[in-house]
Amino acid sequence: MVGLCALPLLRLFTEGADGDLWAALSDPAALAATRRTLVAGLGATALSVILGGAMALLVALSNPRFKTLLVFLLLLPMLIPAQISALAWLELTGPSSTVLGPLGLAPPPGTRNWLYSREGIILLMGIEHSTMVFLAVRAGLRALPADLVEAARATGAGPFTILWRIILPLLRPSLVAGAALAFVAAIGNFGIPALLGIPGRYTLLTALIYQRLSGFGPSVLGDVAVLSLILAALAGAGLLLQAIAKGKGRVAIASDGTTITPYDLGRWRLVVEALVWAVLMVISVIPLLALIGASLIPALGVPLTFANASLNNYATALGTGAVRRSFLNSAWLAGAAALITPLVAVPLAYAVVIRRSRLARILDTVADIPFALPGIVVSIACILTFLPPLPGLGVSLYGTAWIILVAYLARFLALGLRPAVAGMASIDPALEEAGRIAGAGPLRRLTRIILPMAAPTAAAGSLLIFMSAYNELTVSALLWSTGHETIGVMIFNLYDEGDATAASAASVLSVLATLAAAGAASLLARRLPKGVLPWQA
Amino acid sequence: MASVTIDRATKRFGETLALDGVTLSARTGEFLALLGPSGCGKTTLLRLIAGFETLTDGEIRVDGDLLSSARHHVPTEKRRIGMVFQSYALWPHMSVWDNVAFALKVRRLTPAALKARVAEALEMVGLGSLGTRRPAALSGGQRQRVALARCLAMDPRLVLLDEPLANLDAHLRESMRAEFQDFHKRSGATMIHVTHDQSEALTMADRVAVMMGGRLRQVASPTELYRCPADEDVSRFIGRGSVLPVDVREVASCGTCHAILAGQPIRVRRDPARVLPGPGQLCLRAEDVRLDGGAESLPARVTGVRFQGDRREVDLILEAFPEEPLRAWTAWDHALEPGGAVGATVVDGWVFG
Repeated sequence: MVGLCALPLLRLFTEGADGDLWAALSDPAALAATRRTLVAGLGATALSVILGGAMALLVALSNPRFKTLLVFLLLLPMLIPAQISALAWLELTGPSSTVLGPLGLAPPPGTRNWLYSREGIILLMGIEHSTMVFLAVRAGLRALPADLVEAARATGAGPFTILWRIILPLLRPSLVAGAALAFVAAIGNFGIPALLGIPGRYTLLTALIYQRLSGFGPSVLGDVAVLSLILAALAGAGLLLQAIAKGKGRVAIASDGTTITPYDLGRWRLVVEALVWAVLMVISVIPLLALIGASLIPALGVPLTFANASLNNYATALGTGAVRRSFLNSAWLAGAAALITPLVAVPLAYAVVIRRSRLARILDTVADIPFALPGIVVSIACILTFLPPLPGLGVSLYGTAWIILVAYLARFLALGLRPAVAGMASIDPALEEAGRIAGAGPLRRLTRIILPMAAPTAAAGSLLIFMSAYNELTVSALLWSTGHETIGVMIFNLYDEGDATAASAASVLSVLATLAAAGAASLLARRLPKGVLPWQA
Repeated sequence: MASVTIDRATKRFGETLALDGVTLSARTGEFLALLGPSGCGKTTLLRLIAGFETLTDGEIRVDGDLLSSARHHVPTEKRRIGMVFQSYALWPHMSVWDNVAFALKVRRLTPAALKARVAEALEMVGLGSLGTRRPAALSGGQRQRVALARCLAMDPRLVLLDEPLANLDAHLRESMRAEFQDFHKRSGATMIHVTHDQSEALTMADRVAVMMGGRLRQVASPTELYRCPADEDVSRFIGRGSVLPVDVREVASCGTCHAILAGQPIRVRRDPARVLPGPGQLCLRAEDVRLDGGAESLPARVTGVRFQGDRREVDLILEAFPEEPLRAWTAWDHALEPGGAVGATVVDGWVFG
């Protein structure tokens, strides 16, 4: 565990410190990328706060119909990786759009897509990470005691006064925490800056690291290590802000367990519903329709009709050896990460929660770091650590699929650990003590008493890992090699080579696989502590 | 069946001294209650006997075998003791049958012997037909019975009860009390019962150990504890006694003495250890005070009257000791109003210190 989570990052820090920091900082390209990363990151965060915050308030404080479906669609961007949503938006707004085309709204052929710009990056990242603000604000609203609002109502305050003077001030820590998370996610995003920023000549740090490493190979490792340290420092500042805000939120309010009753919107209900659905259509549904549309047309630029719609692109994509191989690669890599992680996460959670081991608590915190930091930082750290031959074995993991698996294990351990710890914490300590009274030794207590009760949360953690790893691009973009492409890499490469229809088909297939995993996790929902599955209403 | 010997048991959690040199023993087959307000150390002592915590100093022995000391610690799973938890601690993923059978499987009983023991234990608590149910599908009282059966099936020499009745409603608590006493009688096991409910301790236990602030204050039978409290705190805690200063004039035979309370001569019981006249403390309970206004009564004032069905409970203060409220029971024919004057006669009491 230490080898996976802590060592590579330590290696990165020493390498970055060794590297010539001033040379890197006086490099105009690096400076420009840092400035752009901050501008785009802050812009996207502002959009995420407005979008995610407003939606969380509307869903929690009012009574629109079909709330479950609404929340699911709101959180859909979370289940769809950045490079696929970027692709979907490009298909939607491009000249060959299958959605805008029939309406006569598509730009004329040959027009440069306006998403290839700073504004495009901000828009898409803002939408993509609004889910983080939504979840943070919703959690804050759930922890808000209802009697605070009822006391304000009793004084005769109207709904807007209460929202402005009571609810929003109390939600400030949640809003700040959500905004900080959205910022960290935005500056670490790779799919959107890669698909929009590289053609748009608006290069962010993640894209710059990728360009340099794929252009010059491991010889520029010292240089990109410094770049990823800059990225890590920005992320660290965001995470620190989030930790402070979270701590404040906890001290400020003591919940009595009752949650705020939603306001009845009365005759405004229809207006609000129309507004919410319009937003949802734009951010979640229509881009996906465009993506599906693009996967069904024979060639780019051909309008989609009933007569020419076909699954040929799917057949072509799956018929290509490299694409088929990438699906298999992602399946086994994500599957292995999902199956191996609980073997570490469950005993560690047991040690943290039930045995209250101090060492385990430190490891628990360490496990959070690779998940919180941008994925590209983790992959640079992994290259630095595993490029030299393994001691004793004399082989290097770099250039094999194993380095991707190692990076997945490090990055997604936290995803398996959080549910395992939550599940363990919901177990009454007396249940384990009763096992001791019955004469059962530590191993039997773990296998017969703790594991059966922790199994649903461990399974949910595995599914979350699978969903995240199966579709990811950020980590594998730097670690893949020929023969060891992941789906994320394959979609990115297909699009890069101009085969947008095949890229769309592959994207639709991988999104379907993710949704299937999400569905499987939802089947477990009844047996999980609240909050393990973020998309559950 | 086992005897428990606790010798100068001391437990420190960081800076806090949770248990301060407690010496106590339970005889074979005895039902001993550990009683005290929350935070008094009674649960810590029970968890030390169970082996969940390690001793800072002192010793715990069962049947003469050293189980805990500062240097020696037998793990819980090797102690062969039974325990019933406040939360019942039934394993939710196992059926009622499997919950009861678990300890026997650990002990590798033959399948036939195991089956017979489980069936017998479930039969004894009246749950013979519910073996296939999950704990979640049971009522509170049924869960408590399963916990009891699980303990019963282990045939333990020593049973620890950690407030097992605290989560039940008043009616159910009454009937479960009888079941626990029945269990004690039938199994003959030594039982140590932690509770903060004094009526539970006084009605169920052979002896009661009163703990306060990590120390043992008094160990006695329920009757003795009520009638002859060892100090002021025990007097106030058990049966809500009042404590007044008295001047003992003459130590009489048969455990009584003559004393002066607020200028009025009284005759009350005394601690046998007291052999000399002098100042002392008098514990008075509601039944020790009559409001008959006789010639030897003390002037008092009524501060409150409470309806109690068969009688009234009266709060009063003696004019000589306005700081120390007293209680008295009185029949219906008295005309009493808060604020009114009344004469209080001391008919019984206990002098200690």
